[in-house]
Amino acid sequence: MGKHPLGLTIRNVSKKYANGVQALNNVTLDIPPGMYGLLGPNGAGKSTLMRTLATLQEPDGGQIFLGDIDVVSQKEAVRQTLGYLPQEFGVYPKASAEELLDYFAVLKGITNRALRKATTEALLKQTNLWDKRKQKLGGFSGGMKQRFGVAVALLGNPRLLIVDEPTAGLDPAERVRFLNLLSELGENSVVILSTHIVEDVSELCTNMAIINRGQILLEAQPLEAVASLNGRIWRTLTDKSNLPALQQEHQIISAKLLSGRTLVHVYSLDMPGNGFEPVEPDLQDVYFSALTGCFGPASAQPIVERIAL
Amino acid sequence: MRLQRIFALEFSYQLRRATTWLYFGVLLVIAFLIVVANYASDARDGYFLLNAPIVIAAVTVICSVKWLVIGASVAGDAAARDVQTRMHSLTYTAPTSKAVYLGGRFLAAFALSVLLLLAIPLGILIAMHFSGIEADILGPFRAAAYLTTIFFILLPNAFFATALQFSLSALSRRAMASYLVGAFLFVAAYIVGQGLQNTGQWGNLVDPTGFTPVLSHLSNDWSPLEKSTRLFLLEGSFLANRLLWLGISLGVLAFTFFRFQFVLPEASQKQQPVPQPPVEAAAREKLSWGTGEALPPARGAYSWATQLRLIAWKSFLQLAQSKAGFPLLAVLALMMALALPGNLKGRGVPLLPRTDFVLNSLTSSLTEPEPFWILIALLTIFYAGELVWREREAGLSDIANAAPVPEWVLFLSRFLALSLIVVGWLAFLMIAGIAAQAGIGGARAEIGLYVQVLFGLQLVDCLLLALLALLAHVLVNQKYVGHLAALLAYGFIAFAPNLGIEHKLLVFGASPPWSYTDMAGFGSSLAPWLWFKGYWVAWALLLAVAGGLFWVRDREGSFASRLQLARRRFTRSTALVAAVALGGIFTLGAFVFYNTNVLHGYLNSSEATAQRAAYEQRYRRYLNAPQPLLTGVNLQVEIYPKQRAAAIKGTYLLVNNSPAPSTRCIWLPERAWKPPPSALTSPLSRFTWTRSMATTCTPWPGPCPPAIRYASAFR
Ligand SMILES: Nc1ncnc2c1ncn2[C@@H]1O[C@H](COP(=O)(O)OP(=O)(O)OP(=O)(O)O)[C@@H](O)[C@H]1O
Ligand SMILES: [Mg+2]
Repeated sequence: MGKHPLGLTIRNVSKKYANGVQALNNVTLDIPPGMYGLLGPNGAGKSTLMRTLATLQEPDGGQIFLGDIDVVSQKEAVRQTLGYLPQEFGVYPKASAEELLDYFAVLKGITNRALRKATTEALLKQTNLWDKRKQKLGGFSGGMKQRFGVAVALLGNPRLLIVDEPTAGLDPAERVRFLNLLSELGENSVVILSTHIVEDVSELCTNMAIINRGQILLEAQPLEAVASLNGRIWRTLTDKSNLPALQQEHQIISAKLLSGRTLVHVYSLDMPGNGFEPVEPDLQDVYFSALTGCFGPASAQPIVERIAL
Repeated sequence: MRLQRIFALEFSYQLRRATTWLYFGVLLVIAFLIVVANYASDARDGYFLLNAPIVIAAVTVICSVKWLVIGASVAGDAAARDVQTRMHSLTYTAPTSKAVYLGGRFLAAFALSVLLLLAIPLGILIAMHFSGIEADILGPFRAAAYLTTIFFILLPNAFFATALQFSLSALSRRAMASYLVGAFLFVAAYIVGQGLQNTGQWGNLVDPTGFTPVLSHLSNDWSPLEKSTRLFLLEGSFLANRLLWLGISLGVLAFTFFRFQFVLPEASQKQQPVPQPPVEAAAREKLSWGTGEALPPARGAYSWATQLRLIAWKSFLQLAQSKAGFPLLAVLALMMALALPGNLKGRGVPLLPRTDFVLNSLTSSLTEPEPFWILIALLTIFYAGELVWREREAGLSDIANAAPVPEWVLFLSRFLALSLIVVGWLAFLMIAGIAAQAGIGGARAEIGLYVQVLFGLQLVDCLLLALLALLAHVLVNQKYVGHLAALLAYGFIAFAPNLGIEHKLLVFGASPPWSYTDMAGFGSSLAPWLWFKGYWVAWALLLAVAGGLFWVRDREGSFASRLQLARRRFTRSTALVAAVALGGIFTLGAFVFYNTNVLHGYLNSSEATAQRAAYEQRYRRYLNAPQPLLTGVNLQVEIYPKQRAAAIKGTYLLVNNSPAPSTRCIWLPERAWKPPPSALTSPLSRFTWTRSMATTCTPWPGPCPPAIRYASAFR
């Protein structure tokens, strides 16, 4: 274990895929130890960023440092302390959970047999797979497989843990258990968690970033970001047919169908007009405001000009 | 309607892939080379016209046998891609009937196979008419020759092979099954068919490609006139062959149609039941919220040696336990044991199953592979592909690659796993040999010799190929193309002399053959073998370094980024290993070169031919010179195998039957053997002969050629 926890510094990282998609565009982030949430819509570049951090992909440019380790050129050193749970992964269907976890423990460098046994046992218990340890992985349910992946990621007590949409597929109880596990680990490691589930971030993460189309839209602490939206989110119930007109006049950040009517959230510095009432903002509002451009890049300051039509 | 859509999608999907065209190109080039490098010289020697129908048919069948393995991915992919890309949950649930789904896919695979195979006549045409082949070895262009070949050989071959490959892949839901089918048809054509050639028509029937009958027509069945002009038609046993395989193919397709089910692969297999907790207890499970014990403080007690050992062992076990692993190898060894009594023959006479004879028949060098060993080489390539691709195909490569394992450990562990497989194969082979010896009876099995030859000599050849195959897969980084690259590399090794590359320092793994006899042991054959293999092992070390440097562990595919990564991985210790390897290559290579080219005049085959011609020009004038006739030989020969020497003393009884009273006895030196200049003239001048008078003949001055050649000098 490192004496003092190390932070992760990302500077101007860009990545363009061979098919021309600019998946990361000048991403700069400071990720302190603790839980860090990465929010973004599909195709935003979250997985790309995480793969880059996990040494599986070369950035086109930019630097990444874990403490004083250069992630791009000192891959071996990073891997020594890395836990990675990809968004999608497979398993050998004919191997049992215990067997495959043991194999990964070897890969992670836990070559001492007794230590390996103790580690795999503890992790299987923590992920509630102990009863299933002899079962073939081919017969695992989606969530069980996901938990197995979690166990693999936690092998060797990583100081940098990167988990890509880990809670997808977990039942509510397992999700809570897993998040508890993560925050325990976050006490002295960098834990980066990508997700679409805003609650995951709001409940756990001390820091977060919102990314879209490869660009960081917002880097903030969830509570502060929510607080800075105070008094700026308004809602109204309207008909679906009114939506286009409303869109012309106001900065709509979200619209939800609610028993036949549409619940609209609007960003505005002051009362947008009749029929609107103020709402207590939550992280979801922060997320939508960031995506719709109401939050400036890397600052929690709203862009006023865009709204004043 | 739907069938058309499925057909069109599959056809255009594969048509757009570079690999399809790569296979096309490779087949075209092989066809071209066979015409230009092989049959053109036969045609120049006057055996047949180069564009005779049977020659076109021969090139076609040779190429189609190769296509069985080269193009196997086409059918396999069409049949199993949905499952392998896990798209089957979408396609299987679509409202499409089984007939339409399978039919569309199969027809597309068949059409693609035909397209690939058409590269062969195209390659032949280009070779015949656009490669500057002289017109006097070509007959008039006959479209019928091409059409009969296409309709009687190509199309049926494409149908049979595609049907079998497609069926097995669809049923096993693995594209690789197609390769195994390809390899087995290859064996049926190349080994079984050829092996049964002398047992009536069986060989012609068993061979699914028409390889056996066409080549036997070309080599001896047909008269020279027939070879140049006769069309190869559907008649006799060839017709029976086509009908037989058509029946088999249709039967297998029908079987596939009935067996195939739109269910997920896991669901259709039986699994051992796992003890489940009783349902009631499970339903009222206590929810535990805590994370239990604190995380174990395990940090790696890092040891790459253990990693290497454990990864290699795990990979080996997985491969060996699969059906295509040890079970298949055991069957092959069994087949070799069964074939052994037939192969143990010297000039048609059965030999005692002495261990050295058995080993001679069981082993084969990398450069001159016996048919069975070609199959082993194909399997080695296949295993290498599995080892390199297994993690990526299972989808856990992202996790595995983020683990702190150095690239060279990853590469080396795969190599060790493959080595273990090879060792297993050789052990099977040894058991097969011993069992065959016991079965035939009459000779004792020398275990020590088995171990020396199989695990000392043959193993080196096998491991060199294994390393090459692994490297090909690592460098190419596309499974099927990797197979193709490894196949081509192997083909180059086996056929390098045909392509004009003869020096053994230039062909990977090549060396002079070792030989073992009861009397002389390995004699002097071992030392050169060792020097050459040492040279190639040094190369192998260098290749292994490359394998580590270019081992793919991230998702980057582009060559530039891989090169950049390799540069970063090139640490000081890597550089050291590479330097050692290079040093080995240069010193061993220099030593070998000094021996082959400086100490002993090296002749390549065209120089040797030129020497033969000079020999004939020089001595032909003695062809009809009156000669005494050798009527009796009494030689006392002492052979000293250790010293590589023999002392020969004795008398030849020469009778002069010619009317002339005295005849000179003419000694001609062996062609390849350079006698000292004085030797040529001295016998001519030394002896004079009187009619019917026996004379003692003293041996040749200077170094002695072996006795047998010595005597033949009198012919
Ligand atoms: N291997 C690839 N080749 C080409 N483009 C890619 C590749 N992987 C991702 N992309 C593109 O890069 C962009 C970012 O993809 P990425 O997978 O990082 O998104 P994401 O934020 O993880 O999305 P999701 O929430 O759906 O997982 C997308 O536009 C995607 O199309
Ligand atoms: Mg993603």
